[in-house]
Amino acid sequence: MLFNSSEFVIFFATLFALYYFIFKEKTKSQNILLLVASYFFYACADWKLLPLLIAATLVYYGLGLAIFKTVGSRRATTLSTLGVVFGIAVLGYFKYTNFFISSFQTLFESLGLHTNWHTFKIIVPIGISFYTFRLLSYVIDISRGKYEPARDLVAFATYVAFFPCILSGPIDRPNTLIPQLQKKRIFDYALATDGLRQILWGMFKKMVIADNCAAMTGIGADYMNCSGSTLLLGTLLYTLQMYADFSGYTDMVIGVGKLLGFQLTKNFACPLFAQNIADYWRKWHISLTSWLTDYVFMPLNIKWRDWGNWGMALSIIITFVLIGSWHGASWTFVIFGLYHGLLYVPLILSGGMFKKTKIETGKWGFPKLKTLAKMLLTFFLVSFGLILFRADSLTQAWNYLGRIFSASLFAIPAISEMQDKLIMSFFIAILLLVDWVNRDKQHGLQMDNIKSSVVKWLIYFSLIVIIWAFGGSQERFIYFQF
Amino acid sequence: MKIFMMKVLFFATLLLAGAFAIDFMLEKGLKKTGTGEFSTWNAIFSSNINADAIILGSSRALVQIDPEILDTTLHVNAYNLGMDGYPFSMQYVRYKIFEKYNKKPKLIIQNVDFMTLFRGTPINKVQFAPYMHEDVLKKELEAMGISETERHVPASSYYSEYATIVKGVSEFFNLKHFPSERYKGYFGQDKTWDGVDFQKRLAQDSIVAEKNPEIVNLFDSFLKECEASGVQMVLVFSPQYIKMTEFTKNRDTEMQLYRSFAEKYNIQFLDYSDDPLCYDTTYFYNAMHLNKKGAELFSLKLAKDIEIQQ
Repeated sequence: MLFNSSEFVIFFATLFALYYFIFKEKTKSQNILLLVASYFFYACADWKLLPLLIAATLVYYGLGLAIFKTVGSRRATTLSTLGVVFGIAVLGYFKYTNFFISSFQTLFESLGLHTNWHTFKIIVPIGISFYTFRLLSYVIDISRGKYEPARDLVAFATYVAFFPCILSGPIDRPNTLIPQLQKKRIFDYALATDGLRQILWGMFKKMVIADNCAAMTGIGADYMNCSGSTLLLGTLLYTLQMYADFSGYTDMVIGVGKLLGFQLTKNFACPLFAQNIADYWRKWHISLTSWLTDYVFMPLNIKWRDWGNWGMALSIIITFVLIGSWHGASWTFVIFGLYHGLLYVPLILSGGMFKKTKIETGKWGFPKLKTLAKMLLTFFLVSFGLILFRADSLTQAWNYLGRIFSASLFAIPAISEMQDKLIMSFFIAILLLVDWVNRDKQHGLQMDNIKSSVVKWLIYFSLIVIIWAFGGSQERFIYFQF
Repeated sequence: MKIFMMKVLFFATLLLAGAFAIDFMLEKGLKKTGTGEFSTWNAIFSSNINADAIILGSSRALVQIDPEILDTTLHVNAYNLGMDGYPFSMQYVRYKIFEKYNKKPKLIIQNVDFMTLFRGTPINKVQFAPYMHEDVLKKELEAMGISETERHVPASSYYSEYATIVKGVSEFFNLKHFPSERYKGYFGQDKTWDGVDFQKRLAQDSIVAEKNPEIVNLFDSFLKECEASGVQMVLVFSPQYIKMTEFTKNRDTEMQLYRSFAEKYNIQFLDYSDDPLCYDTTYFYNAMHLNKKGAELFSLKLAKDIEIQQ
């Protein structure tokens, strides 16, 4: 059930009516409703693996209580370690079993040892990477004494399965969402209208930008017949597609959350304007980056603090290899993570890693040339990383890169249906402009400065007409695969 | 909450009213246009086709059989109802609508190929948008998997179709008229051979022509219907690039099926799958379609063969 589908509109309208009219101000009933709706939503995507989600919820609910009872003791540490190992084992089984089998097989065969292993037919549960991380942070934080476990099973189960975030995040921490689930929720007009605006903006990003870019970036197996310039253009457009797809989805998620009275974790902060790689990861998929920073990078960095910058570099590289691997079981993702980790090294050595970058603007409010150059360099570096991200194999990524940097890089890119592309460029320019102007706000359609309702409504209707007339063929959200 | 709901309802009402208005405007506008598939649909619905011979089929009928040549040779008034990208089930729908609004033809030239009897997914769906009131069309689109929303929500079938929207609006306000690029439904292609598409197909091991039993039955009943109503039927397998034919694994079985239909209803089956034209890429623009030069040669050959048999 895609957020931009008519099925979702019917589902959500029903839920909204029940939530605010029938179960008005009854927190417990509202939570039960949200839980049922979340399980229904999940079952629509993958009903066979719903029991796994429920079982994981029950296990971690019990673990949370047990850890809290003995917090500070060895037993609590053992239990939380058990929770982490169990979570990683389940995630590992579903996502990485076949990867390890085939990798070891290749390794042994390269050493001349014959193996007779075969891979399994394993269906990866949708959203497992997202809800596993929620569960892990829950037990780790309880064992660290950061907060008390949820006594209310319904609230906890709703936190784990909360339908707007279950498929592709954001990965809300327990202390962000559980307290909101436990307190009384009354309808907030300003929050709800802002939520609707954010949904509309997310739909524009997804349906107009991402779905249209998809038609231009889907080079597939035919890439060796394309010129280097065409591939380069596709590579750069894929970065835009990825951003519009994932941040558009997240805008819709957060908007849906706001309509139900929740403030979910912000996941993007205009990453296309990042001035270096550290800045980029502070603005891109924030909930994942901050999760791994807290639970992987920080402990490693503390452990290796005596090694100075090299210890930090190693911690960062390990963290990014994990970020890469989190996306999927393939060497391309591992190398994608390693590539990003290595991009940090010059920053660490120059002491610029934790420096907050300030956007310097010129007379007209646009970035200064030096700032723009840094943004473009970061954009190019990220775009090249995404070649690994979407390649089927390392060989393909390497050949793809080789094809880009061939003599055909200087050929005119093969662009069919020029009119479509010009219109597309216009909408990309609008996206960048709106993002730029609203870079310090929560989302592109936050209209604090516009007082006139007529202007606001004109903007809404214009966006709807643009989505209707120029929306692309409805593609699946890229991050659903993770 | 009350204010919010009122505003949402008001917004939704305005949106719905706008959708109805746009839908109306586009329907009226596109019914006047001559562009693309609309030209043939509009000719059918306006009862303007006074043809005694019609050509049915997919794009291979649309771009390969020139009615002007048939007119001259056979002394008939022919019209090409070929539909790009659609198998027989939709070709039949077009024929049924044609029959409803126009006089019955004396001769039907039915182009067949390896994709005639399968059920595909709809392409260029917007061509149907102004005519969704036709039950037979709605039913077939439903069978092809078109969504409920597209069938029932006003203006939703124009989603993503900005070029068509612009044309519809321009026609509605009489700002610009888009004339037809076709002659009596025929859409000759002045192009030269482009091997890219063929190379892509060759990347596969082979092609297996698929059939849908429902569509095979429909084809059978169509032939029976024509026999009963005294309409002369000619089945034609028009030329395609020979390597493409050879690449189709089950070609003999498929051909046999058409032969058995011809035998069963005692109708002509003109098979050009091994015609000399099929061996020369000069006459094609891709492996499945003749270019204008090839189409003209083929149309003449076809007309003469039909004349001989008559």
